[in-house]
Amino acid sequence: MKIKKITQLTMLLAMSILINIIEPAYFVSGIPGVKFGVANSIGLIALYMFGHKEMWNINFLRVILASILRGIIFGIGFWMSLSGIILSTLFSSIAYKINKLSPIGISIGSAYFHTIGQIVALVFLTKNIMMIYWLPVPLFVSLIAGYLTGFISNIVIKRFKR
Amino acid sequence: MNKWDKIFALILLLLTILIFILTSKTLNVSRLEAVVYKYDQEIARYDMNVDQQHTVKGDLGDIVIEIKGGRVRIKEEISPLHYCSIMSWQDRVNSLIVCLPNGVYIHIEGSEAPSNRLEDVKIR
Repeated sequence: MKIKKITQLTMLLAMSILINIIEPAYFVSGIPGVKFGVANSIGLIALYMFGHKEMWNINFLRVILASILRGIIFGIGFWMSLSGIILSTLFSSIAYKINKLSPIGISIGSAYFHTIGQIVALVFLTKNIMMIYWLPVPLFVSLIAGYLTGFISNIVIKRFKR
Repeated sequence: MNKWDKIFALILLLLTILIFILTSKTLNVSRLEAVVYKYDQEIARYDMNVDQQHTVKGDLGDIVIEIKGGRVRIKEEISPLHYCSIMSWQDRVNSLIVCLPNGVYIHIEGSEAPSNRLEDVKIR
């Protein structure tokens, strides 16, 4: 791997961890427990700049390292993030390969599946199926959040490709 | 956004509306109950027509549940971000107050009112 690529990936990872940690303080959705997920845009940028493998690496490392830094590793929040990121990254990979959606469309779907993954983890962790009653509001927010993060990612991707 | 983005976003929006309708199915409710769970175990059930206050044990400490005027809220709790007390009053059937760090959830359940529709009446 070239030094330039390693440096760029490391910087992307550092940015995603930083955004993940400071996001709850600056980007408040107004709904308890619901975040915009701005850090997910970094994964999307990595996908368009480098490819599938790099996006998986950045997303996984972000969840693990941010959880260690926040002191929530192996807690409920960690498993919810991990489940969400697996589902959203899987969706992004498939959608990118199909090549019909733009970065905004992929971001909307990614945010949507991230929310589904988190609620699925919550159902398993609490062993309580009624957690699905919590789904509609975060799903609706994820559509808006996905559009916003996709819009930002799209601008960054275009600038990088110049 | 291209054409496929718009179609895809519309499908997801319709799916969200469908999930919302299915999960907020309103019954002909005559009585609301606040059911308190500790993980998958039901630990208490309170009539929401009666003003009352109870304390249950969470993983991080005591949780004070208040029921007033047909609404329920978590009044006091110990948790890092206090999401469950920020959620404030809830009064809709199937609403959920989740206190993840304490493993405590309050689900509002409604019991159906007895039907008095004409087709249920038999004349002999």
